[in-house]
Amino acid sequence: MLNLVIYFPLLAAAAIWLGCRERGTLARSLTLAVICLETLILFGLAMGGNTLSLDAEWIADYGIHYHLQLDGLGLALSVLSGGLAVVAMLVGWERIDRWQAFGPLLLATLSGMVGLFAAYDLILFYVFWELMLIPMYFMLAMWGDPDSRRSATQFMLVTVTASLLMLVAIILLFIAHGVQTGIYTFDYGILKQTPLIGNTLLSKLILAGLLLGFGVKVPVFPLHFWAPLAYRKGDPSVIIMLSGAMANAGVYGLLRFTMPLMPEVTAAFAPWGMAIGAIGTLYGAAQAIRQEDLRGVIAWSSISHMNIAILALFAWQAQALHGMALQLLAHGLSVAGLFAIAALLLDRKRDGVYANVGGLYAQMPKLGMCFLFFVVATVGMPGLANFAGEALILAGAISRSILWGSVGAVTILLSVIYGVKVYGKVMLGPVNPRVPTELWDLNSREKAALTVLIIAILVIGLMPQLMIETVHLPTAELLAVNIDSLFGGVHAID
Amino acid sequence: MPSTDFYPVIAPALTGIGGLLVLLIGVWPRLKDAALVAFYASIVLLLGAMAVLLAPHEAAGFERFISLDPVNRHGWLLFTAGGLATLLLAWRDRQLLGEVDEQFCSLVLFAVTGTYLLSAATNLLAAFIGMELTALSVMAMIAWQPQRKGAIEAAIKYAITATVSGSIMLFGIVLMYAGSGSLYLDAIPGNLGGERTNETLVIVGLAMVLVGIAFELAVAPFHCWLADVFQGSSSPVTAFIASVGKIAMLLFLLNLADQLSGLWPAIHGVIIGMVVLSVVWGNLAALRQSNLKRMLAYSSVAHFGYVLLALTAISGDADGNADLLQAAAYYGLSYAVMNMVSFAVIGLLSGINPSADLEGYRGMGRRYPLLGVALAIAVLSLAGIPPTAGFFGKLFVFTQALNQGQLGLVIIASLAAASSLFYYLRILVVFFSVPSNEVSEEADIALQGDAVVMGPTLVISLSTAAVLLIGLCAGTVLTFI
Repeated sequence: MLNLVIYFPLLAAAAIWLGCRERGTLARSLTLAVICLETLILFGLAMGGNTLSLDAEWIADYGIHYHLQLDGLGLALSVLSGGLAVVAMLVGWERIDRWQAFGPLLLATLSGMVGLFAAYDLILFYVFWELMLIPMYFMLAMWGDPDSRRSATQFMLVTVTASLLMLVAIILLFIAHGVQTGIYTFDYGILKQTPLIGNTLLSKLILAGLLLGFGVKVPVFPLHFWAPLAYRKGDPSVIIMLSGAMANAGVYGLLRFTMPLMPEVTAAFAPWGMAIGAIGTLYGAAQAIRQEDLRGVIAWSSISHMNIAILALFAWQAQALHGMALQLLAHGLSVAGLFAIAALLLDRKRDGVYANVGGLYAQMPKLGMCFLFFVVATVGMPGLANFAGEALILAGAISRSILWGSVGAVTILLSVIYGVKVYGKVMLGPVNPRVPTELWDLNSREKAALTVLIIAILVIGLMPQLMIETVHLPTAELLAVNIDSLFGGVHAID
Repeated sequence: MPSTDFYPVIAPALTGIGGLLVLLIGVWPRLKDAALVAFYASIVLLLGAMAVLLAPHEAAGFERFISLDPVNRHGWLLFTAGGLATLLLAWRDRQLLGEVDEQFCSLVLFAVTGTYLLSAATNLLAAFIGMELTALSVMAMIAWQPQRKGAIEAAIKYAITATVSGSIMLFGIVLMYAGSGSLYLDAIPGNLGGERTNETLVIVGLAMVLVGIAFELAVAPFHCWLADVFQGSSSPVTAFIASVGKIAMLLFLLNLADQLSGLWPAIHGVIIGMVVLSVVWGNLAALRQSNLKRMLAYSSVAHFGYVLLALTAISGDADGNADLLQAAAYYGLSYAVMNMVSFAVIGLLSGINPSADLEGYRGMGRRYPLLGVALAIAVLSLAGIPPTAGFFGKLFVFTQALNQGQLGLVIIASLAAASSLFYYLRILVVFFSVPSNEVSEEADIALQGDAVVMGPTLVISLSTAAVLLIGLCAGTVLTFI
């Protein structure tokens, strides 16, 4: 079953690539069908609530296992990835050409993501990590704005450099663990039973490599430099996958592989991690206020929100981690909603630069309402998903560190400012004379895409307990690694 | 005691004598069918492979000249397969059309014989003979169809390189003999320390042998000839150089490192210098190329830099030698198969784009989806993207090098690998972007007869499958080498 959910999209991708050479519309329908089926299977598994697992020897000489385990958190993020892929397809339905190529790439990325969330071996994880990256590059480079090739290449170079250094760190971890215990293995299940002891130079190097590799993907504050350009230049459908689903993989990796495998050195780093998260949040929000175009605002808002997740991660405390899981889902959904709006505006030949828009609400009230909903969700309106996440995160973070928790809280205020500003510039105000009059409102396909997101945001927002239960087991398991005494000296200020 | 097992000589004898027979068939009156000759040559190669397969599995030596052990057993099979692939590719290759006759086939057989000797040599002279036999045959193959642009130039460059490297290596062998009193690899370490031996001479000799090998492997700073030779020779011959010639040399180098591990630390500095120069310079130079063959040539420089990375930690008292050598051998194997795919694709498309300029391939991946997928897998493997063979090669080499504490080198190598992705992606982007011009019907490979496409298709599909399988079943592959 696990193999099926991982490789089904990949096999379908191969079949579509070879079978639909000149038939883009057929490829499009088939891709949608495959993604829907995949998402439904994943959703069914998530509802079932069982943890699937599979373990086999892969490369014995190097202690590499073919070990898969898909628990609640992984399933939730997989379902999110599948759902976002559906949304990305629906909003790109007409705009994206050459579906016979785009469809397989999208499917391959999805395959990589599900595999990544299920991987329980570091090398296997790395395999899926790269598997999702390569098709993403092609989607970024070949679709999107005419000059997207450059930003895509920059994205690729930055992430691959970081990934390779992460691979070096993984190998070092393998060796350090082998030296410490005599067991040379990449298997996460075995590694986490004997976490790396001590705060040595070697473990610092390992942590640095992992932080780099995962942090670039999130993107964590000083490593975010590739993101604004890539988010702005890529096709919004691709960016929905990149910012909504792939960014989660970075946080997920940090959550899975740093603290449980080397608690001491991570605990020593935790205050710095919280600081980075809080500063990144603040910086992202401040940048978002300065932007002059819709996609720029969404890009920086996404960076800001992902950094709150980093703040939560390094708070390493039950409330904050639960909040983080919610935040990952909520951010994925709301940023996807915003980029979907950007995509719909692009369909109507509006690129979202403030100078070219304004007063669109009068012409497209339905689109305007949906846009408003996503803006309000992003800002953190109570009752919607983001609020539940952020409230938990901030409560947890403040209990660890009043300073950084408060900095995180301030950004909510800032997010209101940029949220209101972007909505006002695009939707309200006088009608921009450059806006052509023949704009059409949402059609049923677009309504379907946005409705999926809206319902999901509402469900998570109104019943956060449901989601917390799903992710509780894995986070509790991760927390169990944390010996509170580790934090004793570090968090004396509390 | 020298054992006189005859198993190790059967395969080289078969291919060597087979080469002569193929030449004889060519001059036989009334028999002017080149297809028949190529057929016979293939049979000879298959017989050679049979001889290797049927030989007993224990290591067996012949007169302390060559020895067939489990590692080079599989090496020999690889070379045989490579020779067969070269024949298949060359047969009806557009650049060699009508020129593949009994002499070309016999040259392939002689070159394969040379690689057998070289890779299995337990005696420095055997290695030298093998190396020269391969080099001379390959030189003639490079110049095949001399009126082709660049053919003579490439052949002369190769000839000069091979001669220079051969003489340096010979000088090194002489010094090693003078210093230790033996040409047998396994006897040299034992002889040292005795009377009338001189360890310094042996080390200088070893360094010179290493430089000779570096010339043949085209490791920086001895790589200058490679790009011109790759560009000037026809793709089947390029594939042979990359996948067979270099790997044979690599196996000899690994054998040398294994036998002389005690002396190895003395030349670590030389190797480390070569590694750094190769991975950095190879990748940076490849970034600037606009010709696919030249690009792959510089990428080859970088790849052998990664391979040598595993050899920087060999030493007499370390217990990780076997693992290091295994990682390097795995890398060599994966390099061989992924380059076979790339050059087979280049050869198949040579009717459309004879110069192999990158721009000429625009849109080819869309026009021929299967070919595009094969090339994409090969290029991603070269770039070290999992789950291909190239990724696991890098993983194993990096792991072993880190295990020996080479953190700085591994970080340099991984940064260089990251920059290499830039040009590998460029290849893929060109292959899959919108075609700029229409392919003339005459050149369209989809319209051509089976005979033209069948050989390369077979080679491409088998070696692409190998790239994936060697990666996915790396655990099994490691037990063989």
